[in-house]
Amino acid sequence: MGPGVTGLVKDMIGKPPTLDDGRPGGFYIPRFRNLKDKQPGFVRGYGFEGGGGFSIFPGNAFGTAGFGANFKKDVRDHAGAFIGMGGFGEVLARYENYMDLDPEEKDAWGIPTLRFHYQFGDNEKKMCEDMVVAGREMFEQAGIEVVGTDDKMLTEGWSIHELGTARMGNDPKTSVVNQFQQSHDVKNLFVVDGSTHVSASCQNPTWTIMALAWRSCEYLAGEFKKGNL
Amino acid sequence: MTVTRREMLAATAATAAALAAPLAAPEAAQAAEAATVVPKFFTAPEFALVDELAELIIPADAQSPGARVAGVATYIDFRLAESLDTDQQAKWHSGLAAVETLSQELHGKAFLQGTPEQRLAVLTKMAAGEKDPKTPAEHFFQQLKGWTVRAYYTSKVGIHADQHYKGNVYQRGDFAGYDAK
Repeated sequence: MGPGVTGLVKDMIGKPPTLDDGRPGGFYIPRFRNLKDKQPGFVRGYGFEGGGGFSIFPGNAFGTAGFGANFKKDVRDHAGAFIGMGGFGEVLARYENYMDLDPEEKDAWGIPTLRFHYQFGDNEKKMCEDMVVAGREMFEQAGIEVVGTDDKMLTEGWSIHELGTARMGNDPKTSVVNQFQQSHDVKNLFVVDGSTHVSASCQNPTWTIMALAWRSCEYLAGEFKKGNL
Repeated sequence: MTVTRREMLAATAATAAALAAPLAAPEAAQAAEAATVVPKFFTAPEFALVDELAELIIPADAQSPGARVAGVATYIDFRLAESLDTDQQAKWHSGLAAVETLSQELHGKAFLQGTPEQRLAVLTKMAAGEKDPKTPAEHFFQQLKGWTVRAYYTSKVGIHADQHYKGNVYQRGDFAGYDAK
């Protein structure tokens, strides 16, 4: 969602380079907030995704001050010694968030274009503030020197898994599909993708999409055999 | 500029020579570079200036050749020749002119006419406002350094000779990663 921390692992400074590309070098910290504790500022939680190590290009060169022999040695000594992670939080369902068809703007084929009405709410903002605090605390506790924090939230829709808009629910008045992703209005229409998700959870959604699609297809096959569809 | 193995060996030898005789060797290397490259975007004096500035930013040392052997000026020249960004192109001309103006102010002579100490003084002045650039020369330093970094560390010299990049090879035996214990 934007906020994250960058740290320097002092123990790695000046160490000979190792092959860190092309191996599983990233790390994932699953959600830890509002499981046993209760946060005053927000509900639900977020995970951290991060990585470190040597790569083909020493990105630290851009942030290293000065020039000349010292600069060059500094870049070399610190390459691979940095670690970074960013927060991935749940975006709650907000009534005000929706999409519709533009009444005027049409694409090259004369089809109305989509309009997105989407904003983060107060819960997301509070959660993002906590990402910076918690991320910094984790690095400091691990003995990693925090060299940068980013507390800006990304623009809505920047970091995205396409979820929502055809939400799942029991009430046809407030939802588009039922628990089997079957349209309330059109019984032989099933929407088996992420658009039925009610909120964008803090995890990547693909496995949930697959699991729901599996369940919906099983239901669809059963109903079809019974002659209900 | 593609660096052949032969050129790499020659460059390494030149680096060793440069360390032994710091005054003579860089000038020889510079003369060799200037003689072989016909710039596509810069004028010949501009190209020589970029070549020298880049080498001052990332010089040769005991580990690896510097920006000159890595072909940094040639890379920047090629990028700008191919660029459709006329603002960017204009910034390079005006930035290099700002370096000359600063050199005239400080020492009353063109940058490349200055002694190594005088050249260093000009670049040091340009780099003084790195975090918060104000003068044209300070703004140009950011631009020059950013492009030099990008060019050098994506070159064969930067990737292999300087950074000892281990990628694009088969990893045999035990994983050779660093053990934090």
